[in-house]
Amino acid sequence: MERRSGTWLLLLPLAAVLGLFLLWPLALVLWESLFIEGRFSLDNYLSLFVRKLYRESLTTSLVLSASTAVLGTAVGLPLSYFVHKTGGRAKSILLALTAVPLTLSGLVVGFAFIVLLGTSGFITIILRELFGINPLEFSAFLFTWRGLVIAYLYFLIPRMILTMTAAWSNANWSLVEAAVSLGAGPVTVLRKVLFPMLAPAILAGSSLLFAVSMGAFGTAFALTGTAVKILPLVIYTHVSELSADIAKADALAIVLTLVTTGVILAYEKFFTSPSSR
Amino acid sequence: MRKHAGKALLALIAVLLLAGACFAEELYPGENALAEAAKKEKGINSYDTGPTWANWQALFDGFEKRYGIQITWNDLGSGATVVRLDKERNNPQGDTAYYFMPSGDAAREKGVTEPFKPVNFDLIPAELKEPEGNWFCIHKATVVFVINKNLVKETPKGWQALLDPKYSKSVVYLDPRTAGIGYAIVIATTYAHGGDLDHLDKGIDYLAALQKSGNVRMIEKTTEFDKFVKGEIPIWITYDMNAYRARYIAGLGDAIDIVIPEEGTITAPYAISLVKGGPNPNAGRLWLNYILSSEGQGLFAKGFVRPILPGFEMPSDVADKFLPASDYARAKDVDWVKAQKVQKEAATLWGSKVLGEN
Repeated sequence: MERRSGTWLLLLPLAAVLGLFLLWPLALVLWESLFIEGRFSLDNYLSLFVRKLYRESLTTSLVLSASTAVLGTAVGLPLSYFVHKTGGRAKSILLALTAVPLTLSGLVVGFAFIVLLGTSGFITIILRELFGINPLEFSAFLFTWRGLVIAYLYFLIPRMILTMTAAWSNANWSLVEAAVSLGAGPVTVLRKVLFPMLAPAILAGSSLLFAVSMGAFGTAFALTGTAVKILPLVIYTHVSELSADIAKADALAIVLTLVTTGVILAYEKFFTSPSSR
Repeated sequence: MRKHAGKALLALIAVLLLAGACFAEELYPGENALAEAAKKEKGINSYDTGPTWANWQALFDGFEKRYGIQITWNDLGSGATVVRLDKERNNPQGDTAYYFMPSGDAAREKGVTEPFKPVNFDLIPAELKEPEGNWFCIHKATVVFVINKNLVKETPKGWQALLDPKYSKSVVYLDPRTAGIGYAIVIATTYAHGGDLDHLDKGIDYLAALQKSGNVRMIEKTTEFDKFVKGEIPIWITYDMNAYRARYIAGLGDAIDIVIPEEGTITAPYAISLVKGGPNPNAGRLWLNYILSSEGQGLFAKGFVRPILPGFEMPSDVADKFLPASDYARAKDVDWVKAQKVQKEAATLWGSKVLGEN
């Protein structure tokens, strides 16, 4: 019993931080979202289903996040295997380099892509010289949600690599060897041994990518204007325009939190086997 | 010993500074006394005065040099500034708030401004100040086109020309819902199409047609000056002060064209307020006085920002760089207090007609 209460004491600082900086603000946001001009009302939430803007921004956010999660996993998975295989000093250097994009602010990433792919971007100008493309038409895609997919991948692929490198190291390779010595072909090994072994990590990684792109703001803010409707930008517009509607923004923030947390919880519940927890 | 020498040096510097403060000519009566009170406070929080906008950096530098008081700024956008003041009403953090004039009146309606009449208040035209001093205008700016000639072969002369397919994905302007300049553009296009403040749909219909033509590259929220200078924006609808700044201060010179649209445009006033219950009230007053003093107004002029004080002489080297007065004759003045009253409606209408939000 004594040991137990000791553990609880050690958890207190974490609980205080979470309570102060996560639960309390969330509770405030939720509380504010339930009132319209001082009266209790669920209209802020109901309007999310009625107004085209909200439906559209939720859809675009979901499509954007699903695309980045799928692409980020598809590219990050093989790359993480290479990093794992390198081993030794080279591996630690590669891992350190991989972490660099994660340290950059979203705004910096946005501007980096403008410098590369914008109207007067480095790559745009090379392509214009080589193939005579119209820089205005070429770079316009960068400011749409498809451009965001490209920009987000820059900081999502490293996340996938870091998650997966750990999984490759923890994988039980003797199982693969056993399967091969028992006569299994490469496809069977992949399907019956490797995939079941790595699936939890892959799913955990991709759900992380999904959640990060649902909530990312800085890059979208720097790159796209108002015409791209995704939840974080719509929330921003609601708190910053003259006819600000804070309660509506609160409701949108709650929805964003629910969707993101929901996805992560669902992944954990359905895809992670109890033994690997 | 060394320690004592250091102290003596400090004392000497203090005496010299004090002497300097006493002997320097006052910009206005009572300046020194106010400055002394301000120096006891903790600097100044000046809301929405981004340093590359309206030559604010030069005013920061001038103020800090004169008084040794540090200015902390942010760059929120006019609409966001009013929201911020409202959110902080129980615990105000800002000392002064700068915005597009209609936003100033919105802030007064919310009761977050403190009446204050700075120096030269009487000289500001009556329609450009609130009688009690809850807000007062400090400079003006005219809506123009800025064209990057490297990206655009033929310079458009007016609003109608912008609809031409040859300007596909070229036009950039700021969101009328978050930025004062965006709303100024709604009003400018309205007057250019024979509308007025009761018929803002004329301008919004035009902007919807522009959107539909596919010529709008993007509707920006911020950072558009840097993007233009970097060569990302072919045709930029913005204020003349930004245009001249890009040409003469950022050094783009003849690589850009500046156009006052042939169908007409508007000149927009910008206002500032003392924040009610701000943390540094004396420093805030000192800052507002400085902005409206001949020195502050002169620093605006040097940065191609039109001072508000009537008859304020532009330095000749600056005046020569402005477009001819005959072009500026096409820029109208508007009833800005009324403009504030219809702003919310216009913003919603713009959202639904231009972006298809409803």
